[in-house]
Amino acid sequence: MKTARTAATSAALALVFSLAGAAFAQQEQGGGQTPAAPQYGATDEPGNASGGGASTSGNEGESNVQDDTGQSDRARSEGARDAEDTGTEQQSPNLTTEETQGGGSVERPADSEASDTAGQDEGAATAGARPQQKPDAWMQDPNSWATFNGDLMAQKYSPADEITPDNVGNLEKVWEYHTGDVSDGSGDIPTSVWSATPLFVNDTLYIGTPFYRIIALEPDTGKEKWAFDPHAKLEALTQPAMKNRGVAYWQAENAEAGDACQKIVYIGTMDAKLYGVDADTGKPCQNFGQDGMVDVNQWNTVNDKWPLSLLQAATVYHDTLFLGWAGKDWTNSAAPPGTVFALDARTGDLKWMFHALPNEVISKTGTANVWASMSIDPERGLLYIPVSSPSPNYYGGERKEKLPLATSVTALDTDTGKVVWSRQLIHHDIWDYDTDAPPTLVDIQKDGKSVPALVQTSKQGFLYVLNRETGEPIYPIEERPVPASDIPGEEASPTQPFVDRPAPVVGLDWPGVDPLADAVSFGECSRRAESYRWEGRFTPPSLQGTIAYPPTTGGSQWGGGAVDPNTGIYVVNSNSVVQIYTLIPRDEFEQKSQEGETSGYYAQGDVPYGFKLETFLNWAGMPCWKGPYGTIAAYDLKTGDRLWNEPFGQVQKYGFYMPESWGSVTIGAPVITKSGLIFIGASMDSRVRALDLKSGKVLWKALVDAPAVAMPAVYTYEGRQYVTFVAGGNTILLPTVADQVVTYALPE
Amino acid sequence: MSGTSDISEPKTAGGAWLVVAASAIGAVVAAFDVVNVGNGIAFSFGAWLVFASSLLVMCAALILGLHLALSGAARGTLAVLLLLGILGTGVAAYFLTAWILLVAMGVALVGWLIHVVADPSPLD
Repeated sequence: MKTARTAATSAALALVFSLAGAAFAQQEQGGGQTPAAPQYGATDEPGNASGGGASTSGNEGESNVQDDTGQSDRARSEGARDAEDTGTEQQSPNLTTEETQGGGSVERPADSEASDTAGQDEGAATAGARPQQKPDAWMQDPNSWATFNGDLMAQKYSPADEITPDNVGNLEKVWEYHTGDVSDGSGDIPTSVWSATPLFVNDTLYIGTPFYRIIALEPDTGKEKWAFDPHAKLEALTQPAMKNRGVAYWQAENAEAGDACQKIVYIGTMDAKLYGVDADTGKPCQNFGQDGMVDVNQWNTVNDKWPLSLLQAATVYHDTLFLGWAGKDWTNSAAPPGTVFALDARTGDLKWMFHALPNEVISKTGTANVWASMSIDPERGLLYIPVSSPSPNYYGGERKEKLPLATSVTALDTDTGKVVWSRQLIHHDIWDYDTDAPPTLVDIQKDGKSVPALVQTSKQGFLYVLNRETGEPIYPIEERPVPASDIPGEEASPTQPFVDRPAPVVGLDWPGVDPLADAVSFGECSRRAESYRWEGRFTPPSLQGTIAYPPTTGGSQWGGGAVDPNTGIYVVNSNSVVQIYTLIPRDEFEQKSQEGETSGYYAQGDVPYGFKLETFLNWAGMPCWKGPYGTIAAYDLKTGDRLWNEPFGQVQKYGFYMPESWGSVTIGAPVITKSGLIFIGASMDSRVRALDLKSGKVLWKALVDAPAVAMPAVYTYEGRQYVTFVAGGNTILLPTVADQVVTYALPE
Repeated sequence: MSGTSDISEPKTAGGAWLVVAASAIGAVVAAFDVVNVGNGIAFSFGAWLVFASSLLVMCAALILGLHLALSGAARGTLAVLLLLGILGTGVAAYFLTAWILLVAMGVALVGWLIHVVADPSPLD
């Protein structure tokens, strides 16, 4: 029976992985063979001078950027950016540019407060020297779920304790709501992918839909209060699907009842429009941008090959909105360079915009953007941004310059946008290891002291625990030699950072050939494995094909982890997938394209090599590597020990559920409650679950309409604790998509 | 030996009829699973598959129950196919977590055993 079950499981998994691999890799940066895109930005001519004249260079303080060599880049950054010399500086009128650490820069309106003060606070470049900030009072309500991650620190933690491990089995569905905004792709509208975590604030549950509507619901009944429809363009402009990860909320410090737009809900669209509506009525705020809309694409002025898709809800702090964007870094070499925008929450006016890439490289690369959510230390006034890899993803032979802010976790000053510190997690990224989740901020009790820490998950499976004031590692990060590239023109970094503690979410070695898949394929898996290049972690892409483990689909994805700030227990779900990275000489790639062989192939612009991404499957489509394919683990941040690590979820294909011991590839993230529970959807079996924080055992589960690929929201309203899941699905996991919002609570 | 017995043996074929009943219930349950949106398997290939296989099991059992088989070889073949159908549907029901269908196939298996061990052959 076990053998039969295993065989059936493997067969069913086959198609799952064949589809999931490529799709996963495209998830935020887009991908595939995309037709030539129109120009989307405000097309300023290169070299346009700002209203304030030439760029102004700040007098950098001591650099705090750990770059490709692990050394400070102060020397390189000084004088590196000179717009007049390079001719590539692009500025909108009335913007001034200032260099910051790591080769980045900040643009600001010439007359902005930040511009006035930026040059004066160099002495405050370190977090410790900054004045103490005050958190937004409205965000401190323990009953609320005020941001995408629950709070600004991305802890995904609720102090609610009505639902406990003992009574969670009694949970019942108290209401469900269907938005109507769903598409399976069979009609004119692309498939919907809905990962929006609802917000509970202002006694209202706010939800963004994949058609970019905002819906306000009563938190205890699910009755609709109002809905706002921006009539957004429903086209897959940068992504293969209609995507949304929710809304953001802002409230004036002294909001007066009756005054409109003292509380605003925001939603972004795939074509870079940001809408702000009154949180009580849903009516557009006339003072926000133009009649309630800011076109962020007005600042898309360099390599503007696609609109800056606003899929991730803005991060709100004091009176500022912080925005990243999503695009695609497979199709082009030169692409829009990574930018984070800071906008006035009331007016939408630009406060500053941060650029992660030096000007001198943007003629041949781009992205290094922030497409995942961000976190903020509200008392230190620091914004932590997960910066993705530069384009093109898998060949860096034409972007060999040091790009210290690419594939990094970076702390910015929320007032000025300047880099306070940065730590590069991958040097010269040629694996598409985007830093893809907000770092979780938590104070760790270690060696008798309280250490301000952050935990950064990663696609590469390492958990980086850093001092969030300085960026210095709390648990060691070791530079180790890694294999060299054998591709002409490519120069892989000779070392990469490794973390042994906490233990990586996936092993250092790839799982090895699965005996059943190998037997079914008469040894195909073994033969292919031997033919591929694998010399350990960070083996570069090759012409013969390289085993990538974890690949761009692996490790931890955009949800990141959750932490109990009282105990320092950290929980994160992860994927174990093996893919093959193959570079293809340009002429051969063009030939394949002409022959229509395009599935899994990516152009990478005009660099000498195209790229083929394939999941390691046998002829029957069975995964050639050993499971489990998805796990969830808990760590004690005080010691770095892993407390438990369990397969999570079940694979489902053609309706059939596979054994729990195999786990499931997951999209989404956990939430922890004070009572010792973990709530999580994420798995492909369309179940939402409650786990015991102590053991990882499933205590409760319920079926929803599609995989719940968003974090749940946990909140308390009128004394009753609720857990709300959005079940929208993601075709990477399962073809089923849905529009369900479902809320559970204990019986009254 | 057929037709030579002086004893009039019962022709009830109780095992086969038990299979018919169980598979009929299974088919109804499977049909419900196909259309019951929200059960996690509605309109899936697996749900359709067990609906079809339940019907096939029922048809095969009917043939045995009605003594329509023309030869012992045909009956034997049909009995083997019936067993495969019951087991296959049961395994599929297990992976679909369609527990009622799984129980139905369990009952059908009991019926099949009765049919093989205890039921008289129509050709006896």
